[in-house]
Amino acid sequence: MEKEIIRLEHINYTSNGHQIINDVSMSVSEGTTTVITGRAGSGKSSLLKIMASILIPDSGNVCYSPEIRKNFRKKSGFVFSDSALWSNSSIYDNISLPLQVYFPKMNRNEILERIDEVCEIMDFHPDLKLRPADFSEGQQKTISFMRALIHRPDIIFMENPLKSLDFETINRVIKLIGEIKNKKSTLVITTSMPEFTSAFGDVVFTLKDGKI
Amino acid sequence: MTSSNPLYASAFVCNTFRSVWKVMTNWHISKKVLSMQILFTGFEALSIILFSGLAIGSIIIIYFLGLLSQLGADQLMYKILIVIITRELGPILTAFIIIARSGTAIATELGTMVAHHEIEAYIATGIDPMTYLVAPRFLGVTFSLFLLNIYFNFAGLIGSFFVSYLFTDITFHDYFTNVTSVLKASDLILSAVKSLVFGIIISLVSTYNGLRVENALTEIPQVAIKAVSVSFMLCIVVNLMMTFYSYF
Repeated sequence: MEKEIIRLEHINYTSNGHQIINDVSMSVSEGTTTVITGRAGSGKSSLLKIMASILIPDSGNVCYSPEIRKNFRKKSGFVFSDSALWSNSSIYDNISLPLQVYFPKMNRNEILERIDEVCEIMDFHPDLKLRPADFSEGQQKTISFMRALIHRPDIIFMENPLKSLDFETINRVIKLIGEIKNKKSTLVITTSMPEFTSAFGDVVFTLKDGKI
Repeated sequence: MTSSNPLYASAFVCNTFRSVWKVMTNWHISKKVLSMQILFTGFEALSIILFSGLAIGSIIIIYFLGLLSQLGADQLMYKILIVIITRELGPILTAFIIIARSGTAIATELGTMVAHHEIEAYIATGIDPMTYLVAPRFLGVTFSLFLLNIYFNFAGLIGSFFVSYLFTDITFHDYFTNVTSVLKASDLILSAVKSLVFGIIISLVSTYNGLRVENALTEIPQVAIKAVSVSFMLCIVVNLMMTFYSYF
């Protein structure tokens, strides 16, 4: 039986007076791919961000296993639906900032090696001096994958990972998810695409009006 | 907006002061943001501060030179210069220029970052937005305002000297001696304290309002206007209180 690494207990979350998440309890096990699905506005993204400690719930508990809780950020990566790249920073800074934070002693050559590594994974080699605005939406999304993967996290949160991507990049992301699954890393994905849910989800949660 | 209550504002201020210490421990990450803020707020404002200082100094001397000569109180001119430029106009005018230039820029930039989920991306990367975004702006604006106030004072006194020289043939040595003879340590301290306090007000109000944006891009101009109007109002009220306190 897989080990439980994240457990949500009776989570409630409101935004601007609207109840987004309504008494949700669920858990995520180590080495599994958990897919949270549901219609647009059902609360998938909020739930994912609560799970990743980006949003704070109004009530309820988010519990992490001791090994995940210690250095949680270093052990996790997050791919945002709309990329959320830092617009005032270069692509180099966007991709390498997690390394600068988690490995302050890493020199520039080592950082460039890591960047090359994630560029190979995503088969995209952007000019590192440019800024996010110089790239298309799909390219920005690809760069946000690189940012989430560069520090080799154990658990990866993906918010609508296929949004804004072209057909070729969708295939690459699907292949990447398969590789992550094979490595027994933990994945938590939100999506509203049913075919994606059945292909990869070891565990599937369906949200409707903020309830599972 | 949930973040508009006084308790949230107080917590924000306390958190900012606490984060200033963390900037030092995360220096390798924060130094770039801090140096960019000093560049935008301090260095890039030098020309407008120089121009304003020279113009204000010239206007004051033109106005009072004739008036005080008629009254036979020429020596009073230097005291008036110090009171107006060093104690009053230097800090407040510099603050107004910084509100117009950097206050709006900070509120708009942070508001845009919130709306585009860039702040959430920092949190996901393990970077505290208070330490990485707010504290360097707080330090950068306060430090820049302090230095720009000194620069404004020099510009104002140089401007008034040029006009005096044109009309009275006073030498720089005599002018400088007269100015330093009426300049007291309390004038310099008050001017410095005012500029530091105004820097703190502008940076806190601008960052606080910028981070109040929740989702919509339409909130960004609203918070920018709010940041400017609140900064103006607070600087004027605090200036009045400090001037009042210094005389009584």
